[in-house]
Amino acid sequence: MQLILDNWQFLLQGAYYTLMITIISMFFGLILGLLIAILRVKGNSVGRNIARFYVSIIRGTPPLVQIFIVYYGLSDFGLQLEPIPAACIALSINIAAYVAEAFRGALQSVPKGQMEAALASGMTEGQAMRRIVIPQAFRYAIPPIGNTFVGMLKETSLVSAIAVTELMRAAQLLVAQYYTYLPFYLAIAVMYWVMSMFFTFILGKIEKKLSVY
Amino acid sequence: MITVEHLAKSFGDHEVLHDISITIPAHEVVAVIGPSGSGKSTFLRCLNGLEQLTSGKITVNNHTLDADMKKRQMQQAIFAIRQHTGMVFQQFNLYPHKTVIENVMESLLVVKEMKKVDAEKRAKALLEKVGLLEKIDAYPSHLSGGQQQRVAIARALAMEPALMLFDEPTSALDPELVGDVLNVMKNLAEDGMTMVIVTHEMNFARDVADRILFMADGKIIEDAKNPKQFFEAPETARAQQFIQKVNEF
Repeated sequence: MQLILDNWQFLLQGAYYTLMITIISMFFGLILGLLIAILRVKGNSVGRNIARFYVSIIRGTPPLVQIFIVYYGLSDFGLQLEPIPAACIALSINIAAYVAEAFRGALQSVPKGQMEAALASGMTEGQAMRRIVIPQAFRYAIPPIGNTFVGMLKETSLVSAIAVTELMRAAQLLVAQYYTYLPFYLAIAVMYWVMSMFFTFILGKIEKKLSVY
Repeated sequence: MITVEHLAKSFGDHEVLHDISITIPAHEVVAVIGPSGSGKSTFLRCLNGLEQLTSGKITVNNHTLDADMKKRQMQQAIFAIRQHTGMVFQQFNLYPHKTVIENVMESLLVVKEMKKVDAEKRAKALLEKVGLLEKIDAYPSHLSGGQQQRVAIARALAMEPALMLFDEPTSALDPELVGDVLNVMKNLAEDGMTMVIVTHEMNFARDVADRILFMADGKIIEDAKNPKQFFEAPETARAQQFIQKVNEF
């Protein structure tokens, strides 16, 4: 316990990076995921196939491999990214595929009559999507996307492998320094858990707010 | 107002509408009746382009939609037709994430780009007309089916359509709620609105419609200009059979 207290600032800094990487990746992953989902549902056949291929490749490969490809692989093309940007890019690309799948399901669960009613009342297909279909899909998508985000928070531990000193790597460094495992790993487990609870809590709030109707 | 020439519609190999031609003048109230699966709803949905025509031509309010048009032209024609055509659905299809008044205002704001105050004013007037002024801030899920359908009618009327299409507007309603909706439609008919109504409400069709289209097997079997006479003594054997079946209850 004393070890933890002595190093709490270091751990907290790790948690800060974990949170930062999670939120940045969530943000870009959400935008990218929505675009891919719309492409998958509403695009022409080329667009649909691109979207399908993207989702299939990302879901079919380990996230750690994706992180290595972005960090080490791109340097072969002279693109040497810093660890944190590389981590954010890799995780955004990764989570976008899962967001896209969740959102595709949500778009398809909006009854067909909603689009028809909007079109019949003179809207273009784009207006109908923006004003009528997508807002409703959001509500259906919140629970699965929420799960994805909580999963993402934990997945950030993988970027310790490219020397980003987030929570996982902070613990590893402390372990290496003090030659004792349990206190540090237990401490970060608690910290991950608290952050997950926090996310779940926020998502619950959003879900409740969207269920007024 | 509406001219349909040689309209045919297939879903895959299955032809649901065969060579339909008909003219409906302005201010006419037309009830489309017939057994289920006869193509009534498909016919109605072709009129505002919710179903793609397989062949033939439809002219609504001087905008022509032709099955042979290029995709882009067709979309423009459909869009033009919908600007002057309101539609009411069997399942209401109100926007569940918007309140009653927002449902009515939505297309005014988005399509007509009307100012919010003006849209609100028109929406309130229409909701008063359908007797739901006290529900303007409720969400659709808090209304009865009959109330929802009256909101849907107000929503369609907001765009000031020259033509209203009704696709079995009372079929999803509890019996005691049907009357309110039919009354609103009757008032609309008396105001001179051009209406095409797919319905199973035979009494309503007889009393309110100017003309009955009896459909079976994807064709218009009987086009009756005198509804009362049609219900007493239909001319075709198929219609006689249908009316007899209906009257058995």
